[in-house]
Amino acid sequence: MRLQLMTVSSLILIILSVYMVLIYAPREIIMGDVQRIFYYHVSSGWIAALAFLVTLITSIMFLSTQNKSYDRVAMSSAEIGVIFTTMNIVSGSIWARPVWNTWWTWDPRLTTATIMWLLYIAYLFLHAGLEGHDRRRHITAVYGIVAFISVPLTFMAIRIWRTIHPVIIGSADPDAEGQFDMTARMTVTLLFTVSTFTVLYFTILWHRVRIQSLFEYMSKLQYQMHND
Amino acid sequence: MLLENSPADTSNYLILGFTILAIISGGYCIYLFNRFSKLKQQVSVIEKSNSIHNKDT
Repeated sequence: MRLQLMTVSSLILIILSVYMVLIYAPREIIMGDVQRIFYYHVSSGWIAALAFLVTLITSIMFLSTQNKSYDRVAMSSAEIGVIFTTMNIVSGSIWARPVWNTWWTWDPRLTTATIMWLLYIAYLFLHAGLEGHDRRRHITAVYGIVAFISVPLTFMAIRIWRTIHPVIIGSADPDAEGQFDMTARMTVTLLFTVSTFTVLYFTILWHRVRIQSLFEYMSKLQYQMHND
Repeated sequence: MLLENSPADTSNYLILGFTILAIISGGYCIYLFNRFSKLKQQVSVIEKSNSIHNKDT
């Protein structure tokens, strides 16, 4: 019942966020309509970071308590994080085409984001492919902790290195292209989409953990059947 | 030169962006839904065969 309520709330919030992004938020003076992608680009980046942080915390908790449910949450969160990182990279690339005049450039932010994305894809392959349940859980938990280094590195990349990626919150590099000042309506829209994506993340995480529990239950039943 | 009230027309990129984001997120939701339905079906089949097996023994 609570999950259904969260699912319906997420859907309503997404519809409202589309309204806010397309109608409520003003059109940016120089970039035009493509700037509206920014709201989903930032929100998906935030969710990717949150998802990988949850993977880090639950991996540590799994290693200290050996409770399998933490492993389920860690894996589910990493999978959602990969999906949102994909959305973040793709939306950024589409925004970059008219603004930077290229789909892709090996800028520090783009490079670190790609490394982070690949590291967590590898995490999912490890989780799916390693033999032996306990061994797999332990190895992926350690990997989930180590891989998290890429998250603050990606966040800080535009603040440490010389980059063309704009910094909306905080001071930007003078070489940044596509920089703009946010109006009050733009800030409200950004906060709304970030909140919407946060609710959406927890809803999807709940669904994904439920699927993982069902999968493990089925594996247990199959194991029992073969051993009887 | 760009004037203040005439921003560049980049709406086609916005449409492309929205379409791709909808495909990725929608695709993932469909994948989750299908996986859940299949697992539920498989679990009920195994539980049924297990109960038959238990009755026989």
